[in-house]
Amino acid sequence: MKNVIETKNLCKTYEGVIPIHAVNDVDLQIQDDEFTAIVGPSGSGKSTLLNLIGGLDHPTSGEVIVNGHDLSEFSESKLIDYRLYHIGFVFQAYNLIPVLTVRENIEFIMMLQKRKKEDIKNRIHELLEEVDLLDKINKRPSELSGGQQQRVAVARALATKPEFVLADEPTANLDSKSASNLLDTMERLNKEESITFIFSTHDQRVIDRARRVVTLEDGKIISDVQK
Amino acid sequence: MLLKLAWRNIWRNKRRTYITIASVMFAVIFAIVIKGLKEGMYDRMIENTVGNYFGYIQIHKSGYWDDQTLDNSFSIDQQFLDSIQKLTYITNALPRLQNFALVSSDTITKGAVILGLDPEKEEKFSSLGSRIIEGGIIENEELAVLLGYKLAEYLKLKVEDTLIIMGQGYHGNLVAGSYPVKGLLKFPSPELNDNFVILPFTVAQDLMSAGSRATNMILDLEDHNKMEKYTTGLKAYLGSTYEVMDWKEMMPEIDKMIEADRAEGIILMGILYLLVSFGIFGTVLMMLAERMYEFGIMISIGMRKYKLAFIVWIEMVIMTLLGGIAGMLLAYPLLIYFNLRPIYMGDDIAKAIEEYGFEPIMQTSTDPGILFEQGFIIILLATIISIYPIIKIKNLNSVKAMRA
Ligand SMILES: Nc1ncnc2c1ncn2[C@@H]1O[C@H](COP(=O)(O)OP(=O)(O)OP(=O)(O)O)[C@@H](O)[C@H]1O
Ligand SMILES: [Mg+2]
Repeated sequence: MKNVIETKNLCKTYEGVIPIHAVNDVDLQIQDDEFTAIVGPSGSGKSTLLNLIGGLDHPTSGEVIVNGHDLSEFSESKLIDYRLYHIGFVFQAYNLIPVLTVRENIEFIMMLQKRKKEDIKNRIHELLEEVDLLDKINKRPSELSGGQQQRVAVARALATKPEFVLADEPTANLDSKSASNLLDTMERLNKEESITFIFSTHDQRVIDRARRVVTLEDGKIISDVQK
Repeated sequence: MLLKLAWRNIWRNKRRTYITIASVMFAVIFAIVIKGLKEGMYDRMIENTVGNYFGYIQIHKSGYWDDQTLDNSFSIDQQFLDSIQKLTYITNALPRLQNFALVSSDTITKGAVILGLDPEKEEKFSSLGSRIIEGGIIENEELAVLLGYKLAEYLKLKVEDTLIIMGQGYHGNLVAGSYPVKGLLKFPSPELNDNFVILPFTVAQDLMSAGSRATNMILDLEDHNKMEKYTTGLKAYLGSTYEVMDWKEMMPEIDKMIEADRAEGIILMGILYLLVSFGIFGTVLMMLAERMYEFGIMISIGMRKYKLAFIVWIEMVIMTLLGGIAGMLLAYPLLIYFNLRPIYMGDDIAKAIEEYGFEPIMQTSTDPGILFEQGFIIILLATIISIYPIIKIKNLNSVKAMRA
């Protein structure tokens, strides 16, 4: 199987009175169709690692190679395009643009990609069906529950047919029922659309659902378990 | 989509938006009314001195303006009249003969300006007849004079009394004549009321033994806004024997005063808009703080920063323009109203103002240019205010924005 993502000696240090090695010499390979959890205590570097992989942040040293491209060679504007066309993002909360409806939120990113009108319409229906929110299509985010919002965020992340989805603590603000609901959705999409999911969490019930668990501590990988 | 987003963002915080719109609106109303009053004042000032008396352009013999004597007059023969008539942008050409002389009643003598003019043509140009407050108008070749009413008061003369004129005519001849006073005039400009004696052009020529000569030729124009262009054209057309001057050249002090007053107005307006801008800037800062996280998300998922900046700019433009348009819609009727019904100032103020040679009337200009100017200023203002958020967005680091 080919590596979708590969990091080599990846480091991110925050300078300060005491420098913080948020990510410290991480070598990680992620392959097609993985459903992987990055776990670890608060401050262990999960978000930082995901941001580096997503091209949102620049490493202090080391490389992030995605589909054979070294991200450090990309210009800022190429990175933006890269994120737009190849990565889906789900953040902890408030993912959606509050003034746009569910439909428009998904439409928005597809319009940034300059997709055809017809395409956009069909894909929105398909996605909302998959996350089971077709009935909320014209609602604003504020009219949805936290779990529903996160499912829309997943739908939006997939709208662009990305190579992989990065989700930083997608269940952190959800009750356990909504969390497991979201995980169901992600799992199904992982199988049906064969999309790689990488998500960070410190919620044990979410960890149990992952097929691979990478554990960080003080910016280092301390264990990597395939189930 | 970007426009939709901008429009919805504007209405996110309705109260804040209404306050912004209202502050722009009041500033615009204020600015437009002030500007309208000022421009209206300038218009009247120009109209009163220029339109009613000086004319937009005058032709003299070269050198007349600096040395205003009869010796610097020029002959208006048929050939000269024909050459002027050919120019279609001149709607009216009025010959005048002007000189200084002593005027007296039985007991009092005073220096005055003797002005010979063509009553019929002047009537068309400046409706001279409407200035008469007592008695009647003079006719061509009639042996009678009109007096500024203040001069008449000074000389203690009434209609039908006799006025004696004595002075130097063409080539220094001593001349004298006596004429009945046919009417008294009241001009908006006090100078004319104090000093002027008007008589028919031919009568003045005879009195001054000036033959067929005139000192000034007043030109009325088809389009007053093209005055400067016409002046340049005429100068070349008539050559160096004649002196062609427009009112700005003849009365640079009025032009300068208007320009200075305009500059003062610009500063005033600048301060007004600066205050409004600070208010708007405050709301922009709040808006930015509230939306940083959201901007971070948008950039993270692949939105280009310039598009985000464009949205913010459009929001500012729409918001200020809404205020601006509301202001214009409310202010323009005011301009029209005060144009149709000028404000006449109270007696005391009126006197003080008249002392300075102005009319005690405030009438607004209805020039739509005033509105467009405000519209332009507002868009500029919105753009300047947008600079800060745009820089913020340009330097935005989405990771940091989302951590906060
Ligand atoms: N911009 C920054 N400046 C300074 N230090 C930072 C910055 N961002 C992160 N850190 C530090 O880097 C370390 C890793 O942070 P990170 O957010 O990646 O941890 P995390 O595993 O995601 O934690 P959590 O579970 O609380 O989200 C922490 O010690 C944090 O304080
Ligand atoms: Mg984190």
